[in-house]
Amino acid sequence: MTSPRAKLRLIAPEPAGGPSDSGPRLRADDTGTTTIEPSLDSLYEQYATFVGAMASRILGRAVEVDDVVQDVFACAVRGLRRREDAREIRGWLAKVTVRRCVRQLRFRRLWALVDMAPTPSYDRLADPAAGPEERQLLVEVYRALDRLPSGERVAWVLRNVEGETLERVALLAGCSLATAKRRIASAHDKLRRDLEGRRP
Amino acid sequence: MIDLDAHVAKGPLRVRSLWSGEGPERIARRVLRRRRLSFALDVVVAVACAALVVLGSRHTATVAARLATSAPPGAAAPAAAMETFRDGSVAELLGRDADLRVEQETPQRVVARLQGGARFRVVHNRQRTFEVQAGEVRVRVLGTIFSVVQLPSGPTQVLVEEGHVQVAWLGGATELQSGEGGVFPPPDAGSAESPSPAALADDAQPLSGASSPPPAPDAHATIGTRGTWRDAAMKGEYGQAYDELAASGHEGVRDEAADLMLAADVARLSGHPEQATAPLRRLCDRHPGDRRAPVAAFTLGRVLLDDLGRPAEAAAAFERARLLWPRGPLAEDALAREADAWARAGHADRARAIAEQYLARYPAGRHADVLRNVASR
Repeated sequence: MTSPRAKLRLIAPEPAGGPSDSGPRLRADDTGTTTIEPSLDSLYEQYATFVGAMASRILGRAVEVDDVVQDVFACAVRGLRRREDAREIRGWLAKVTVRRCVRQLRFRRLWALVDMAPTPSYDRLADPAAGPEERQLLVEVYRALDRLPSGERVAWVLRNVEGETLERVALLAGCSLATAKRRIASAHDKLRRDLEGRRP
Repeated sequence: MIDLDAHVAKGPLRVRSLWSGEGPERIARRVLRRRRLSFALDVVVAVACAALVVLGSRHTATVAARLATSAPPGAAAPAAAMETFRDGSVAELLGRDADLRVEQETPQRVVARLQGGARFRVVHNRQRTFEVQAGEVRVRVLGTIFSVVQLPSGPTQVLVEEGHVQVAWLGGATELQSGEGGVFPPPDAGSAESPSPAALADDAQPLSGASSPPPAPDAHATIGTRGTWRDAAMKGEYGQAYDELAASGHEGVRDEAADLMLAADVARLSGHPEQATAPLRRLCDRHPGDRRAPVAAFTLGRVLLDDLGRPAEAAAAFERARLLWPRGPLAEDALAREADAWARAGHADRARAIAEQYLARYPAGRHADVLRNVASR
């Protein structure tokens, strides 16, 4: 049996600057409708970097990032076929990534109750372009983030590390704008107090 | 000192990607693994469900369950399957083995073939006939409440609660009025197990106490003349009838046997068994001489035992049902259900005594095998 949505219809080209600049694999049929092949390979090729980077910023641990990327694209095999507009794909992947990260964070907190392994280092987390002070800040911030509730952590990271607007934070975190603001403010206060408390 | 606010004010913190950049092959493997896991989980859940069903059915294969499979006429099995016809008529299957197949359903004629037992509430309609074929017996009605049970020995037992029915079999036919019952085709006159309709009519009348009010007029003469809940009930719209009855309060039901019985049926068939108990009790209390009183007592017992889980009260109701009509068609089933109710209430001694009473009275009765177990405990 052939699925009626075996191919995704491309309604408009991707906006410039996104990970889809290279564009999906386009193909025009006899009627002039442009289609893309929704194969896992092509989706992965175009969006895995984006998903991996986003998961890295939220989680901060390499071993978990790979898991989340795999999880997201395992979902993508089924979920992306339901999306007809290629512009939706990136937003949908971002939402799924955030959701998977939240789940991973909750699992991490649960696992921490019995896990005797030392707290991982965040030394490799800073961008090569970051200066020593920023590197130090990132290590301390991510240690402090580990003590925050998942919702607050994700909202703060999306706003201050991912650089999303408040509206996008609310959208990605699946909450109202007011809740997003409250979570960011609460997380910021806790982080500031935590960082000040560590200083000699 | 590192100032978080100052860094954040400058722009997003710069974090590099930790993703290893591995190819999609592992994703494909993970998808496959997930599907296998999902399939395995589905299998485990299915096996667990099947095990639960088997265990549950074994657990319920107690005295109650076995009695339920040979449920008596005159009262609906609340947990049993229900067949609703297009005109609102309802058939409540009595027992798990019962099966009803509708062979014809037109505005002029409804023909259903029954195996096992069922209680029918047929909406009154002079424009069509309603026929139930059970074995060699055919029951034809216009609008009434009656029960048909195929006995294990072959013949079919018919009991009429309201209205009248025509019963036909190879070589004969008869009419049964409200409160009458019988086993068809009629057996030899000497048979103790299956009394003839004529014999039934002679000795199987309900008790008629001197203080009881006069028998109620025919149900159809009183029902449907006033009140919209009755109209809805007679059309088979029990949900609507219950809502209207609830809105009208206690004043909505007249102190007449037919009206009380109808109100109880409306409550039961609309899914409000608790509300059915009051009119049934009232019918038994206020109209013990009415032909519906034994049926009401029996129905009360079924509701209390099967729907409401109050076995001690149910036992009293079954006792009342058989005392109200000691040689009626419900007496045997009422005695068996009484033993069951006492057993469920935890009164083993009483259950044993009633079971022995049953075995003494009906040594070859339908429930004899089950009640022998009760008596031997």
